[in-house]
Amino acid sequence: MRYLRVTSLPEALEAKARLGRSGLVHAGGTDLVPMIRGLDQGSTILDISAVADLAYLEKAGGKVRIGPLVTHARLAGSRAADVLADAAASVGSPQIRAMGTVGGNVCNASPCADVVPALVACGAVLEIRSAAGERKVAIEDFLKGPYLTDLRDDEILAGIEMRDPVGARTAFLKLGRRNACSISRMNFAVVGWLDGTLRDVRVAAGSVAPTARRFPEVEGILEGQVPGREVFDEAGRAMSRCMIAAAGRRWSTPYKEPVAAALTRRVLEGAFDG
Amino acid sequence: MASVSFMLNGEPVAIEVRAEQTLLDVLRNVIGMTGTKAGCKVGECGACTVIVDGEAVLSCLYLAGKVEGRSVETIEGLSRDGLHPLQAAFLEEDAVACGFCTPGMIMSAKALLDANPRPSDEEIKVAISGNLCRCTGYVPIVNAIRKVR
Amino acid sequence: MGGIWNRVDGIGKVTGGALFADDVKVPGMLFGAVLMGRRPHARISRLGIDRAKAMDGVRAVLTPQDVRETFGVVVPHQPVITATARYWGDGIALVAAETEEIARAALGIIEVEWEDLPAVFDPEQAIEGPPIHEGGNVVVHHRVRKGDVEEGMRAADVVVERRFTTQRVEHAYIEPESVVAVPRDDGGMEVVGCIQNLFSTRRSLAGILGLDLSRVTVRQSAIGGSFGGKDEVMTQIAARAAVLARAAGRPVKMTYTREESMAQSYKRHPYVMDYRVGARADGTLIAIEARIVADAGAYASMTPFVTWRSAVQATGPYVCPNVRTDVWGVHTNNCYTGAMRGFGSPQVNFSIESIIDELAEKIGMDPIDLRLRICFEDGAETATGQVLGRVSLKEVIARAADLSGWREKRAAGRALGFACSYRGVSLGAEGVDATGAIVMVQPDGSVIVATGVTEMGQGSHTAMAIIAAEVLGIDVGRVRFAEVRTDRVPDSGPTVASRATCMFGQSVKKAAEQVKAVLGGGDYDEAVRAAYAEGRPLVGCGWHRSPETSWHDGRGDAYFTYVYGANVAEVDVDAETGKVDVARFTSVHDVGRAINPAGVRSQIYGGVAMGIGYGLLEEYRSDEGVPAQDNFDEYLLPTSMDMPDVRIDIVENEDEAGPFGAKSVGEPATEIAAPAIANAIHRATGRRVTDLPADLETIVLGRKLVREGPRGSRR
Repeated sequence: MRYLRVTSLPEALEAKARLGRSGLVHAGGTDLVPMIRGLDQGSTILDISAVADLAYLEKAGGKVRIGPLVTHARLAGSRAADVLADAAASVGSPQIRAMGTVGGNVCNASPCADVVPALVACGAVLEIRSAAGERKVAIEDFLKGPYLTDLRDDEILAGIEMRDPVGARTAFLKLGRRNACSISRMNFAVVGWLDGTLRDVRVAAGSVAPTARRFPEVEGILEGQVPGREVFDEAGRAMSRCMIAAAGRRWSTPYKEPVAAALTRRVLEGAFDG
Repeated sequence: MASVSFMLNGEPVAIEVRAEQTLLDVLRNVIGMTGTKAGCKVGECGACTVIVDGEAVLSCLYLAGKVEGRSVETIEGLSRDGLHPLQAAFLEEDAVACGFCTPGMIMSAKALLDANPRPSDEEIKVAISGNLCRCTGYVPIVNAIRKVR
Repeated sequence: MGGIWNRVDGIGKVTGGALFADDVKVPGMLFGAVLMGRRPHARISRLGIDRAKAMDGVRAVLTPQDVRETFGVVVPHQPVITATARYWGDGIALVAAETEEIARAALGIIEVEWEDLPAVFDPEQAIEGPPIHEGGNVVVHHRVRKGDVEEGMRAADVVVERRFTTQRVEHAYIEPESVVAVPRDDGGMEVVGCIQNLFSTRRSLAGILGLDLSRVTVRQSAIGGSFGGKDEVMTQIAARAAVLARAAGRPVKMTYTREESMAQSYKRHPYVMDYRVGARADGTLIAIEARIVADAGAYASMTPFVTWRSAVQATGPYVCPNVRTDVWGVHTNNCYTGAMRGFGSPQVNFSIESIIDELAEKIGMDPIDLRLRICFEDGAETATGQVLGRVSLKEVIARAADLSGWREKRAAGRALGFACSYRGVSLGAEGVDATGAIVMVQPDGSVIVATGVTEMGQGSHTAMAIIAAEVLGIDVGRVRFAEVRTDRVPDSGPTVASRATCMFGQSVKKAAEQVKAVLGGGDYDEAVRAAYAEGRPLVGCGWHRSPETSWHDGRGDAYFTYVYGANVAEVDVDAETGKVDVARFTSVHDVGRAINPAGVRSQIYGGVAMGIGYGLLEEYRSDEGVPAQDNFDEYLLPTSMDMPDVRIDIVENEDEAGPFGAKSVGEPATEIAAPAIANAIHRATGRRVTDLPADLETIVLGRKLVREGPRGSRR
């Protein structure tokens, strides 16, 4: 393999255009390196970790803008948005959080990713760049399937932008098998508004469908309702139905069906003190 | 092969590395410093933990090329002038059993104390939550770190 | 003694200077690697090594044609490499090359064609199934008989019947297996590695290489954890490195990746256990029947001994006039199983402690009150007819109840669970149990202690140094523990069965006492000077044989002494998700006498962690013989965040069998944690945990969920 370290975004884009699929974008390395022996040994590792322009984290003008190189540790300690900070704080171990990046979490597109559902609930829009230009994609449209994204061979994720959820009620909840370094068994992120009744609630979940995504049927049950146990239970039941519709009945369904419902209720309670 | 220059325990180092080579491999097999251990090589056990630019990282997942211009601290760097207080505390509190997790554990603890000199017990446990120990049940290790804060 | 002592091996471990096997570098060293078969049961029909042999940098390639030898302390049928793979991790070819990269690349171009053989994965089915070895699949059958169980059951007021299962467990020592084999000029072979049982490894190596024992030297590097797991797998990797070293004429290092370690190394036996307990209405036991099938996997390893301990201890520390226990060890094409901390006790303790708990519930008695009514006391007779001496179990139980706040907390609605055990110390009637040690006082009064006990993190070397120092009346800092190598220390059997302090400690004590006798009284340093001036030898050689044990047809004095333990777990169960958090844990153990109390406590904390893993998190699963996990991303160990608040108490019930009254703690520390947790879960949920681990799905659904495919984020 070859190693190419770039220090600017134009350099990175030029290299990616030239290398295409054989250019493996490398920032934190936490997903790439364990796989490296199985990859095409003629590839080039394109190290973008030193591109300072991709490490921004800004909150201004009603927007939050996150550079792809922001690490989970940095996001967890930031005041960008609680739901994102909580999600980032739940990733792996302290060492993984120090190395792994938000951009990596998005582009790796594991169904069990932790920060991704929080970004989905926040309505994040991705800025994708190539040497030829740029485009914006809603994160849900970017995630095509397990470990599959819309990223083309000559493109690099250059930024993540979302509305600052200030004033919103939010919550993130992750179920793992142990209390640290856990792959999500299921995770949930909620962003919504409450002025007497529930308004514009986004409910996203990971590890329950091929990609992290919002659940419109669940959100529809909540819209305009007064928060409370009954409506959250109904939302939970809807989540289970949607989960089965999206992923089919599998070996894990007898467990996931009741648990997804319970945790949906719980994350809604967490957000709205229901 | 690529050239990499970085600071290692306060001394400048310049070496040739292969693209897919990890910092762990470079430390143990190129430079010959075997204090940093290989337990799993997929970033799950923490035995390979070193400090890069003040943060505890997993050297088994850290590609060597990325360490260019950075500052690396390993377990060998701690006992230059006698034992570091963490090393002494680990011995005093019987936090060293088989010793294999110990270098990585101490580096995670050092990164914590350098950034946060008075951590709570909870913060201590979180700081070492990425370091597996199969011998001591972590209790003596938390006691040792608490002693140094 | 009994104070706070730093480990004698500590400094190197905190500075990174201690040499573990993979840290060892020898000039001219090659790297060896093994090709695993990755078939549960198949015979090689063609093995193409020409391309591998021709690869630049490859110095040796060995096939099963080249290496036909087998080894095994009990049943010597385990191959170094094999033409017939009997489990997925079985090795079929060896390569030595200039670098690890080249060796592994060479493995990748070895061509293999297979003829699949009928395979069996369920040990109960395997009893009559297609034979994996000549003579059929039953490795061993142990029985214990006392009285008449059927008559006892008929007389019982209440009978409880349950099937329990426990899972295959990976030792998960953080240091993977590693050795360096160095051929010597005189034709001999030296091997240094993280080897738990140096002498059995040496014996096997000598047989495989065709050398006298005196020409094979096995040395222990610093060992990064073993827990019983670095026995046959180390003999095998040592043999592999040695035959490669011999073929290449150069030293060879072999270090497994974690994936190779998990796929190849033996595991804790999974057990299927059918228990039936008959009791009177007041809880007094009348009859216990236990029918147990252990999955031995592809090779026998320590199965006969593991299952023997299970047979002896299956019915727990309870008085019972009628007992019928049968334990079978049966081959399957799963990963082979062998020694692991506890050695057949965690499985049976899970069963007996769960079923006694259920009995308590059935008769409306507090679980601890029931134990106090029916457990062993001084002079009790065990299931095998042994009459015990002093039994501290009631004191241990009472202390555990106190320390855990048992009554108050249960009254307040907290979920607490209890378990207790008795454990035979050392090897018991398994075999010859003797140790030897040499103590050498130097002219300046410093001391070298040489004995074959291995240091795997349990603090054995420190304990030996403390014992020698205590006898001689000197500071432990003046005692050094000699490097453990087979050509310098006496063959004293393996460091297993928690026998280090009790057995090795005795021979160290005797050796030190011999020297003390030569020194006479008075100031130590003056006496040393005088002895040297007068030509009196300050070398002591101590030999210690265990007290007598006996075993015949299911009855006998199985062990020469016993230890007693009690654990209480306090748990929080999230009934909706199945997540169990152990909030508090109380561990009380009779260790005889604590030579190194801090070391004992560390062992207990570690044992609790291992028990939490056993009870809640760990399972080495395979489907049709194909392992479903290969690293720590999916084989889950407890982290620092999973540990409870642990309270420990040590009961010192000095036993004349051990040095200064000391017995043991290594295995007791872990063997009853899981049943304490399972019983606490029952208290919280009303549901019995009958299958370990009690994972999320088991708690929510009340049954095991059979997983298909790998879990987690693997592609």
